[in-house]
Amino acid sequence: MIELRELCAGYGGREILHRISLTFVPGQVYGIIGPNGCGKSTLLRSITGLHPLSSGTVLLDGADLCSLTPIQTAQRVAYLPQSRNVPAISAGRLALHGRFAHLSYPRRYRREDDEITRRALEWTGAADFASRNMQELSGGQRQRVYLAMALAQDTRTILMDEPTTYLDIGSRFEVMNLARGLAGMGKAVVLVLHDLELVLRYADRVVVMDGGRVKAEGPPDEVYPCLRDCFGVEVCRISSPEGVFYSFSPRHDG
Amino acid sequence: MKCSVTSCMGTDKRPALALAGLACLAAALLSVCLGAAKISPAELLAALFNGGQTPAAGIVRYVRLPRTAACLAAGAALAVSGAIIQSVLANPLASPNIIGVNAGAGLMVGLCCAFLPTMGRGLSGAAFLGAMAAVLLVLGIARRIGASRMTVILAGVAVNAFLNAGTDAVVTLFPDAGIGSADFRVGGFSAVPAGRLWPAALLILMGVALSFTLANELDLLALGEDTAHGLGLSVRRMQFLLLGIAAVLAGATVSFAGQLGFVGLIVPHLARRLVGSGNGILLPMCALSGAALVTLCDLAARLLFAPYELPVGILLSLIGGPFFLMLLVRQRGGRLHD
Repeated sequence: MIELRELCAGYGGREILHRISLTFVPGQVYGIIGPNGCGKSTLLRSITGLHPLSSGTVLLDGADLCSLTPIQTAQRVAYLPQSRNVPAISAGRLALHGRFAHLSYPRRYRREDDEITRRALEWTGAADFASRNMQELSGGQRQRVYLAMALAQDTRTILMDEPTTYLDIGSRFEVMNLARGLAGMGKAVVLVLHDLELVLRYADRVVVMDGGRVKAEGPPDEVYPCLRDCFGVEVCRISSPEGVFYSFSPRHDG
Repeated sequence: MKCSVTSCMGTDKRPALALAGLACLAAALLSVCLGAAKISPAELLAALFNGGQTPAAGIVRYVRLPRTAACLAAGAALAVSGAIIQSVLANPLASPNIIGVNAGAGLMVGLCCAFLPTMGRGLSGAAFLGAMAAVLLVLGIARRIGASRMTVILAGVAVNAFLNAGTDAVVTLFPDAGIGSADFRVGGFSAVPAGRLWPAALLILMGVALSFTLANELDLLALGEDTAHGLGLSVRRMQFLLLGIAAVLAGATVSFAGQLGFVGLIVPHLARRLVGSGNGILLPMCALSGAALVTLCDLAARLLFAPYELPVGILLSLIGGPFFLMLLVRQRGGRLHD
């Protein structure tokens, strides 16, 4: 569980995030959306302590972020950043490093860490290529490995910055299904995404950000009307026997 | 799929490590036994365990053993230092001699020899300070201007040139300081003072051992700073600590072996091709193969042109240069390191 109270953060003198108050509850998938430069990524970085707060409070499972060491933070929140160079490391080894925060110096992975990691790899469907190098894997496969790493980290909250970027449509759905599965285990899953349709389809709650502020927060069918002004597009909600769909089109002004 | 994650990591790398260990041992034995005077295995055993007073025993104890120890320590230290620097700076071109770490140590050693010629034991400490100053300078500059992989190297090359110019100035102005010799400038073991060797070797032993315990931390840094932080690593502190260890290793080496280059660049690449980039096995592999390579090259440098002796740094570059180019060509468009 994560609580943000009046969080402000910025670069140099420029404030990027203005008084953000949000709560991420276990068992829910949250989709954070907003135009480029609205502060979505900075928000995730602030929650993990990568970006300093200028004011406000971040509570991770009730503990103040400022009082936590990086290890203690990593025991509460798993974070998968956006742009990652593809490391030259085997998939299994990468997932095993999810256990890093649960060890103290000198860090030697134990049998139970192996076991937890193996189960995580199986759960995300990455066990079959655990021995392969990350550089040989497809984007979708890599994302499964990173998700296994986050699962092995055994935190109550998982933050992901654009986990579906550069993936084909099938892999995107798979990643979102895995995110739903993680929420089903009782984790709070927070995703920053650009793909609005994906967010509205899969998220339990949607956070709409614009200019460093939260414009709306709630279930998809409540917040979708405000996307019109945020992104400058027309949004249409289509209710059909197969479910609810959202369609986006360029704005027709006048 | 009933295998543990660690055993699932592809082919077993332990045979390669064992082979490097054997090579290291063989190189050490050859280095002790061969030379201007040949020592038979029996004489060697007698010298080591019976404390004999024969000329052979004297040669072993006062010439060959210190020299072999110096080769092993220097090779292991430079290779591990190079592997650490390449990982931390996420740059395959980085190595102690290219980004000015050796040069910083060299300048300090030069200054000490010129102005404080009596300081003997403190020399490796001074060399470490010089190496550390160079590391911090490069890291600081890279962070200030946004550390892209290329700027780190450019900053390092500039620092390297600057520090080497400083050493050249000292050499020119104080020709009696004893650092103008080819042995110091390109690295060599023909005149390693025992007073400098043992404190430095102790530092190297500790540094290498410490680096082995931080292999997982190095792996995490290679995943990128943000991912490493997300997994619970104090990124800045760990970078500082690891580069500090790299500076200790390079500095201690320079204090007795001079500015031995190239080992720190090629051995990590070679080892990576043999055992992959997992630092848990890469660092020991670097230490063993670095030690073996330097010892064998030093042996060759002593024997090939006897009674003359080539500084080993020259031979290392003569062999290592073409060998490294061959690696690059055979890699063809691929990358040696990500």
